[in-house]
Amino acid sequence: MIYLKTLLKVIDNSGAEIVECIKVLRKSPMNCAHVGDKIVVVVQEAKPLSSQITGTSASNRVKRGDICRAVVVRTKYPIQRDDGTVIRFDDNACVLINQKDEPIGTRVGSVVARELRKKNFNKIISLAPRVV
Amino acid sequence: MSLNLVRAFSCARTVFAKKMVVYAPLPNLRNGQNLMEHIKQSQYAKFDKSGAKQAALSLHNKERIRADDIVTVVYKNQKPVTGQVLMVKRAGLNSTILLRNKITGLGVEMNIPVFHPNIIRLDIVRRPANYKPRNRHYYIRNSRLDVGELSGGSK
Repeated sequence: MIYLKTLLKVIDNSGAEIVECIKVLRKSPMNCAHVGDKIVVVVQEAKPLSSQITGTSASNRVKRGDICRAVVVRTKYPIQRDDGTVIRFDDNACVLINQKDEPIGTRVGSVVARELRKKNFNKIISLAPRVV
Repeated sequence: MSLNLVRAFSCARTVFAKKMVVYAPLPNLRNGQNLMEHIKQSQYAKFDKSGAKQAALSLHNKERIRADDIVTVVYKNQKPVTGQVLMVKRAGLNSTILLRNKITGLGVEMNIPVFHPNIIRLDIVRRPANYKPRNRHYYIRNSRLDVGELSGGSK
């Protein structure tokens, strides 16, 4: 249940920590985003830029106030699966992506939901330490 | 004319309705077992041939799965799932157990239908020394009683 003004954790190394949803993409206006849905977010809190980080991860860093796309990877709202299992996480989290649906960061920090595979976010699945 | 007709009919009735045929009652279906009970038993026979899952939930069984146990659910087609039982919903074939675990520091809850054919068995990994005094442990979420990072192998 991710919609306008929802705050989400960012679990990649793009530099953002907390983002706010401002749009759920490709859904009717009254709908909300679930796991695997794309959203547009504003970065509310970001890690400070340090000179130690170099390479692609430095050029892909985001700052506070940046607007970018993200994909929802965990929701507090229960997800019902085909086999009747219902799964629920303790927080709402997302991974920042670019216009081609590739993750901006190079790492994913914590567990993600299996539903992402159905939506063809295989890169995020392979980066994540655990998939449930 | 109509009067004649009526008279003819009434005569006919007195002639033919001499004897009422009484048939022997049919034998009881399912040996008299209640229909819903019969369906329930046949479904159990289909989805739980060994009766192990029924026994794991039965209130008469002292070794049943209770809230506070740590349980591993073993699947046919996916990795096993481990967690502490928050509650057991006993609803016949729709029975579920709610497992809570922490994965990379994050709480994850799964409500699993016990009689699903893809579930091979339910293993009790560990039982607590003393059970908490309730059957539904929702209150342990994000409290000091919350579950730790549980894995299936720990005994």
